[in-house]
Amino acid sequence: MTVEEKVQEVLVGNAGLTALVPASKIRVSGDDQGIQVPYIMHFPVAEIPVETYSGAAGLRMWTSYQVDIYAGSLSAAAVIRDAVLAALNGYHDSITDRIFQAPGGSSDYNTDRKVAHVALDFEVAGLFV
Amino acid sequence: MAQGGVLGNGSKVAFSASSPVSWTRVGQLLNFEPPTLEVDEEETTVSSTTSNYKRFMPGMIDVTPMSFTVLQDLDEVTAADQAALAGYARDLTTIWWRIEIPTNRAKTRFKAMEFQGWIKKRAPSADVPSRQETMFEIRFDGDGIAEYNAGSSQIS
Repeated sequence: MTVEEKVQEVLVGNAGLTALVPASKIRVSGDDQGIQVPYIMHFPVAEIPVETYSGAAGLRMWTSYQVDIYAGSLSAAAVIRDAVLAALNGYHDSITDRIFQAPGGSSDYNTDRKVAHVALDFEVAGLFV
Repeated sequence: MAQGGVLGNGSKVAFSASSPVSWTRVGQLLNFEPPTLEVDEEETTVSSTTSNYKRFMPGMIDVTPMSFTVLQDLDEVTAADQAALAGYARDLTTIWWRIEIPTNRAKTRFKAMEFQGWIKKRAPSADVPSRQETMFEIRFDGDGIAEYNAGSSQIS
């Protein structure tokens, strides 16, 4: 399983989050022109290679995995943000060492599109392919 | 002909508690510092009307500790090598060590060194946001360091 697939699995499997954002609008960043708010895009940003003298270790680590929340207002985005944090922060399972919130993140409002955007950063580590 | 420079990637560290040796490779090796030889010096300057230079003779040889760090696995079932090293550290056992450093990019030829030593330091870690690592420091305890001509690896 890739790291994107794991984050997707955790997000769409959280009932509290999918009550705010339908599972069909939670996606890995891609060609999604025209999608209506609210929606979530997520993607890995910065990976730290874990190299041993005998090759790459099974463990893979990302210092930054970004989750972008788009909503009609910053207050609505903030509610979704809290649900994303509840779903991801501290998550671990048999292949996921941990997902937890990393320093960073941002929020802004696009007055042309009338869309609020909140970005969260996570650190992710596990046995991903 | 000189290689033009070869990376240290592919280097190996192994240990054996028995003689004849049976090498156990240290797995998940992140980095290591081979032992360094540093020779003491004794001044042998004599009064001279023809020379203003100090003179020295070589003294005893100090072998600085070899250190290496592994991706830590404290489960004796999945990392028998690390469990064995922990046991040698507790028991203060002098064992055999072999390090092999690649001499070509294909990693088919290695320069090997062997010596005896005991584990002076074993430092596991368990930081919240970081991978677990254990650092070992090996203190020399033998009659010398054997160096072999480059050849195929004896560590599997």
